[in-house]
Amino acid sequence: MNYSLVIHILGYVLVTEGGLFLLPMTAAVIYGEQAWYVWLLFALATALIGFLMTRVKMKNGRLVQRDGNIAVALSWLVMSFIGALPFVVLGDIPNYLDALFETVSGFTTTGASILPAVEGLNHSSLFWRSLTHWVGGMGVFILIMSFLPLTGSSTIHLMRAESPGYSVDRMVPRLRDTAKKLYTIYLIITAAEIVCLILSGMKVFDSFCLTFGTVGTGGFGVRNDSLASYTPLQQYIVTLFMILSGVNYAAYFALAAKRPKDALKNQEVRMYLLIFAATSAVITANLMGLFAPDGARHTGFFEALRHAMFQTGSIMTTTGYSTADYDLWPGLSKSLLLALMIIGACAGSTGGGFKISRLMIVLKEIKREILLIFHPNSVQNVRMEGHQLSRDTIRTMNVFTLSYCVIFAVSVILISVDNFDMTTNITAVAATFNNIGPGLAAVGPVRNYAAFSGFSKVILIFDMLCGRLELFPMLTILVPAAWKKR
Amino acid sequence: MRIIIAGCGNVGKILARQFSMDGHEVVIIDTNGQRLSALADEIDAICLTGDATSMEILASADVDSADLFIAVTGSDEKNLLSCLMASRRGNCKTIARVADPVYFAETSELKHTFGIDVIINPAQATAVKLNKLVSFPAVTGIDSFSRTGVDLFHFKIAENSKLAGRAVKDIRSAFKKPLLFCLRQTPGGDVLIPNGDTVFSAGDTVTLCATSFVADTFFRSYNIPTGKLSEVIIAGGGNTAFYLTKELLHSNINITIVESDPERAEYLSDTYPKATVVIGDATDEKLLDEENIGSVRGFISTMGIDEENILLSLYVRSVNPACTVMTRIHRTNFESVIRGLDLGTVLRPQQITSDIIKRYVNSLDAARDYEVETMYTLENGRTLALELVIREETFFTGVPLTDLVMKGQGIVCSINRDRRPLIPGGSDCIQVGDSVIVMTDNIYAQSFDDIFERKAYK
Repeated sequence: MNYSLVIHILGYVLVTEGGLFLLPMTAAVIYGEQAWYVWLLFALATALIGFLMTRVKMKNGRLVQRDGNIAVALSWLVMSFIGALPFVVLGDIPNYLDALFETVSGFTTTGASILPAVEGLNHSSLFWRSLTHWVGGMGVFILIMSFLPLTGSSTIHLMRAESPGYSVDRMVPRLRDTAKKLYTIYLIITAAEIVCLILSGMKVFDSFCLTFGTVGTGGFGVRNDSLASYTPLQQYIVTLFMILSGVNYAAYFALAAKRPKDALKNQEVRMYLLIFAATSAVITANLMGLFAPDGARHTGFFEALRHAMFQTGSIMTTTGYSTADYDLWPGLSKSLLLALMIIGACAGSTGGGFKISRLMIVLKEIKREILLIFHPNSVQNVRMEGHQLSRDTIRTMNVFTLSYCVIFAVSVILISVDNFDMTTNITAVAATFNNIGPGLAAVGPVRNYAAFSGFSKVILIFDMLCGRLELFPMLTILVPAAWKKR
Repeated sequence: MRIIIAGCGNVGKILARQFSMDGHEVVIIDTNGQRLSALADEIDAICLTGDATSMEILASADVDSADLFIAVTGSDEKNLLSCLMASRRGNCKTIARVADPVYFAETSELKHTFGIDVIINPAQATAVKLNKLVSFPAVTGIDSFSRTGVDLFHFKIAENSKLAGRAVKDIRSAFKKPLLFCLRQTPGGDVLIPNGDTVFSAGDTVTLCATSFVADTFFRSYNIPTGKLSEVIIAGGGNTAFYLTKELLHSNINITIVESDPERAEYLSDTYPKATVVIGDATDEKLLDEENIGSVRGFISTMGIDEENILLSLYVRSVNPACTVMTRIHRTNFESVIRGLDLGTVLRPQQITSDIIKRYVNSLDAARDYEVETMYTLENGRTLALELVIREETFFTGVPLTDLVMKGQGIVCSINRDRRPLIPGGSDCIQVGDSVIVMTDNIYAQSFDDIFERKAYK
């Protein structure tokens, strides 16, 4: 590891986090909370340490992929370690490990909580909890690249390590412009949702927090029952923006560049919308019995449709809001939701999970293998979005798939020491590893993760980070050779 | 500017690196995905895999909004065709590399038909440079500037030279005419900009800034050989040799070309009846002996393989230390090793080609109120010589040079005022209308602000 360079990069991350602390401070001032100076103190201290770190003299400014992975993984860890401190100092979450779980869950846009009730918390803490979703959704490095002078030519390694997808690349020649455009789109979607929610009559504070949770596909709410007690209109608005946030940003890019045809041609987005529509339809049918006992068929249908669409969108985009306790739904619906948890949203979106494009490629590879049995000498290429995938890309993808399964299985075994039932263990890992939040059974939408032991929480924290950063950055820092000085 | 580069060879890479550093938006296209992905890790640019003559690829490179299209793939036809497509489709300037002498002979016709703004032939550009060097045999390199009357002469101080062991101020006061030493490179590879107290030692490579007349007198008074070489042996009869022979024959120099392919030798002999063409392998010691390698004044190795050129030049230096040797080398890596070898002047066609293109791009920028007129990346790759044109009053005009604060190392080498070159002293000022040659260690410098602080001593 190139220590001086990694420290330099970490410095920029801390400066940014220091700046972000000013936002919950503003919330504290607005709601007249005594503790606003805590946030200011954290902001100043973090920014100062970060600034001093950026002053460290760099021996060699060339960033290689290894150091890019290490820098990103460490940044996310450090950011979470510091981001958890205010919760402890303010007394909202007294236990540091719990606070860390909550913060990692925030930054990784998971939304898994250890809090049984959130309504008693400080407004500033709630705001910070939701803001971490917003920052983690698009990624902190994209944010840094768009406004701080971190413009070395190899910063693409940072973007690759942080952004989801099997082939992350710039969309316009200059990385800084790419970062700026991504954030502009992100800001537009955010602003649109805030405006819509305020117009629908929601409190301003709730609109901001819920919007952060939606566009970052996070899932932290500000009420104990998540979204169940909001009006149907507000639930529909959130559904719409969840779906929009799970779309590959390349499609928005094409729209912004006035190439709507390219946006419509995006295979992944089409598959994503198809899966959403199909699953919503099946779950609606499945829920009819629950919401529409004989005699109320008409109103029951719309009730079922609303919950089905909301929950499908919420789970598929890995947001994790809920309007109903889907743990009580029929088995078919639960199985479908579990499958969606793992599939996840589009690559290049703010959502998590295995990603739809990866699933499509895996399916195409299976098809290719079968075709090769029938025509052993035929040429069979795997194509995606009109381009042939190189063997290298496919190899990396296959290793990703295997690593995904291995980490999943090992995590399930490790957290089984707490003696919960199988559904709880599997869905707890599925919901954290894929950055969703609530699972089923003991970690269902009306329950929380407080009951797990400290050991299991550490495992789940690792899973959340692993899932958000797409495995390899976190795996890189586990290799002892990564820590060797270079 | 938005620049599309087709072809990720040596030239393409040099250009892509430079332009992305300069803050241009760069898209680079090549059919070889692996070569591209290596580059993509290191520079801030879009790398597209595909054929630059495909409309689909050009469209995804967004050729419509490009300002400049540079075709430097290995194929002349692809270069011409892609330039044609780019200029028809978008509204951009185009530059094509054309290596085939048959095509290159029709440059003006090609420019007209294909709508190409600049056509570059690396072999011909190298030959032009070689021809200049033949006129100053002691010099390892010359860089000329478009407006200023002075050139930069790079030469090595020999073991028994009177320059060795003397300080710059003594040399300057002993020699009455205006000249300036603007760079000293020690054999160890250290590059520094000398001041009055700097003492030269044998083995240093020194850059002299002066008019060619003054330089000529200077070289004479220090017994550094001047005057054109009377005879030259060229090893290898490729395109560089082809163009070089044409240039050299104009100045009545005796030329011997050694070429192993009989057909090619026949062709060269047919084209240039005055030149002696020898059929044989230039790496054959006996053959070189027969051609009086021990006493020849000049030797230029332009064989197809770098290693052969290096071996040949080393051999000629060992049997004939007085001979002026020039070596053409294609590879751009292992620069430090090659610098340590006694190869005489090393010419890199890719560097020459990309310098020409960079200069053209700068001139396009100049139309947009930039200051750079001409620029050279000097041989060591760590120093840049810039010719800047002063169009308007700035912070830096009217201030005596001693009062300007340099960022890093640098020196003002020459000021050209009213078409007359002036080697400046500390009390001279830069004025509007001047063109100024500045040497700096900031190799990405574009303007005075990159070279000087915006504050004066007073």
